[in-house]
Amino acid sequence: MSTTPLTIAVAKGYLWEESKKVFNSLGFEFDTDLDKSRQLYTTDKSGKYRILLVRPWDVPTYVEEGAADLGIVGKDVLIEVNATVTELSDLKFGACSLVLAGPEKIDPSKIPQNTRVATKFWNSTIQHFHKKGLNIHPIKLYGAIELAPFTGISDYICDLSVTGNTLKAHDLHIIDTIYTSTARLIANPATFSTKYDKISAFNTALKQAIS
Amino acid sequence: MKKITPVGVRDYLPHEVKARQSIINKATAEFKSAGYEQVITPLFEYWSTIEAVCGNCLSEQAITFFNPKGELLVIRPDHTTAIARLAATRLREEKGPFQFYYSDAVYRLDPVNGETEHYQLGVENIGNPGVEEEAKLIQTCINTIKALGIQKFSIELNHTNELNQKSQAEQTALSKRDYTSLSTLPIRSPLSEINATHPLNELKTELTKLGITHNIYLNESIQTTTNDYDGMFFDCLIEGQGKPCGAGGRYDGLLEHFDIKQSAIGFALDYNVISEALK
Repeated sequence: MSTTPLTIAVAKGYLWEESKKVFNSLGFEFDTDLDKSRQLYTTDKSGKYRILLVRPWDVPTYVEEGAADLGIVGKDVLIEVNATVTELSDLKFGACSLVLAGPEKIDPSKIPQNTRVATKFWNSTIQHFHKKGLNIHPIKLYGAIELAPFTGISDYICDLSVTGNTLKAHDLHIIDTIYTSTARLIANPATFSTKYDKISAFNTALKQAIS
Repeated sequence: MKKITPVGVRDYLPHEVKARQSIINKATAEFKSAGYEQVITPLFEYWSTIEAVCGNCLSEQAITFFNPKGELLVIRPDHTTAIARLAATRLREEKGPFQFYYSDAVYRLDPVNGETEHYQLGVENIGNPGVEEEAKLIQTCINTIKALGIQKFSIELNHTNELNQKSQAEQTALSKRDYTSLSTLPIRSPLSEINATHPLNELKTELTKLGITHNIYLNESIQTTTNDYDGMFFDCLIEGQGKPCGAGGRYDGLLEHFDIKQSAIGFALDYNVISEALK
């Protein structure tokens, strides 16, 4: 088969830090230190793997379009973007929850219709309330979501939380947990087949490295 | 006034028309030499005709509109349904089997790009084709891809009986491509490794008789694109392309929607993926 490297798109930030540890334990050595360089991709010295460092939200796109064979990205992003990609395994790291939070700790079933909820996770939030038969008034924000109830833009927020400390610092209480998320190894469905042997070997090695 | 086309459709300049026509000519020459004749069905049909047949998969992607009489119409989202209608109605009294090919665009609603054109080249064999015909169908598919100048490709086979034997949880995980929920990755193995009890074993025998054994795999990750596949189905992949360049299979139930108990097989190639691969 071909000698082209497996291209892996990795989400920048915390997941990249954790992925690096796993890659190191698998004996990868990279041409470029992506943390020190402005370069956004590097190749393993064995020539078998190429890493693309991209924004978390862009990982499913790179993989779906076939620009990357594999991707490492949070389940939260996968749920939100609904891309046609194959999920190979749960990498366990990068755990967080998508939570509904507000200024008072109330019973989530008491939330009325058309409540304003600020979130970056638009689809997940709307679907969560739809399952309960409720329409909400979603407010799309890209950051500093905790400010929303304080400024009166929204009644509640729906955001990722790891420790809950940022919420506490803004006097917000967790009302409901929508899902919990961890990092996933994903593949393009077509290259999963055409590079099956390489990808399944990499998947097995990765699973062993994290267990 | 907008001076651009909607994002999902495109113009073809003279040199692009030539490139497209060259691909079409090569593919249709293969179809003809395998005994298929061209049919042309209309650009739009009654939605009720298509809806009853193509099921949930395509209904979310259908581009529908009302005519002045208030009837709901659809721009064809696929060719197979229209050809099944044609065979089951216009040719009801004629003796089959029918071997038809088509070379035309279908239109579907893409969640990102909106109304999108996909040019398809495909064949249908209607009238109770057997396993031998299934092998010939795959042969035609392979010959067409080779005639287009594509060397690195594969046929990835699966079978609905094999899928249906799995637990509901496994079937759901496979259809969602969620292999985290399965304990292992789906199997992909060369044709030669298909064992005697597998539902694809007969097809393997027929393909071997035709001398076609290379580039064919059993692949349990391949999903049906319509609800109507009933038997073998396959994707055709080109190395380096992130999307299948074609898909096909057996649909025994399709003609029953038109009150005819006949089975059919067919495949369609996606012009966009093929032209991308040939760049």
